[in-house]
Amino acid sequence: MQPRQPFRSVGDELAAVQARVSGILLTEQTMATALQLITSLASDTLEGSLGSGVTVVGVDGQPTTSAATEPTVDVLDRLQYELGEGPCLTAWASSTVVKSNDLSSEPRWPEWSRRAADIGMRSVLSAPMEAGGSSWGAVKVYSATPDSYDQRSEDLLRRFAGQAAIFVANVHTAQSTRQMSDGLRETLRNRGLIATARGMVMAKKGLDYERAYRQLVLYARQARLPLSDVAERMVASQGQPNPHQDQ
Amino acid sequence: MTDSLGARFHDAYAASKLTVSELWIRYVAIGGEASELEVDAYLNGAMALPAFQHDMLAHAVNERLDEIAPPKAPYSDAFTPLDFLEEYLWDGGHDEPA
Repeated sequence: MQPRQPFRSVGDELAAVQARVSGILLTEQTMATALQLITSLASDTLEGSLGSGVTVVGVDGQPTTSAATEPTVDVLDRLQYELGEGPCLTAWASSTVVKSNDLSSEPRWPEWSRRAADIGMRSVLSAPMEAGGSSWGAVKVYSATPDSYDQRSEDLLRRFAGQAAIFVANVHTAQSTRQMSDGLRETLRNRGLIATARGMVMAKKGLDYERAYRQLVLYARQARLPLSDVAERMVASQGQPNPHQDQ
Repeated sequence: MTDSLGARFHDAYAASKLTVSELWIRYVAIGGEASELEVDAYLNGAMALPAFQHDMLAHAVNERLDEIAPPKAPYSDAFTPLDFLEEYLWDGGHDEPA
């Protein structure tokens, strides 16, 4: 599994904010609807399935279930998260399609399988959701009969999972841009201060847009200060009592 | 820009050890208007930038070089950090300070 990249550059953020504003990225609501469509299609297409659902693993590593077609799916998924074992967690972590033909004798997840069999579940198939080099979770189908799934089922579910991953990855990008990072805030703040100082120099010195900027750069070079510091001091000087009033 | 200016700019950019993205963000922060792609193309000699945008890019590089440079010894008549404010208030060709 490729761990998700926790760091995003300001450039990526600006691009993602731009994309969201332009409506290129999906909303959470669109994603929920899309995932429901995918799980209901998976459940209906893969014969013998009792239900289907999507496990989405958050940035913090916590799995949650979306778009469960049946309450039982939700119950079985929660049990996986509580026990820290189960087919969806294995599919996600190993980036492979995981299948169990009989949960009443499944050694890979002994505790989860025993309890799943207790409530009448006998087979499970789970495929990892992968997009953009990251693993976002897993899509799964549950069945009450053993040996419900074959090679064709695996291929189908893998394709459904690929589709679901695109939606989840897309919404994740939209959400993370909503939390503006300190880096982006600082960039925009400095740009705003410099633009303000530039306007002040234009008004005070009667310089044009470009010359006013060059004047600011000159100040910064003389003072050996970053341009943003010079701008900040100039903006702060405005509205202060003028020390030269009596001269 | 001429070859020697271009070479010096590239040497300075290389010394700044900034990635294209890092330089672009700094350039945007001080008012730059070209896209990251354009800056990337410019750094690779694939595209020209207006002289003013080049100067902003150069200033972004120079600010980074100042950040990572060892401290410099001051001259007796060096500008103090606040001299520019005096200049701004007084040397504007107006009768009254703002």
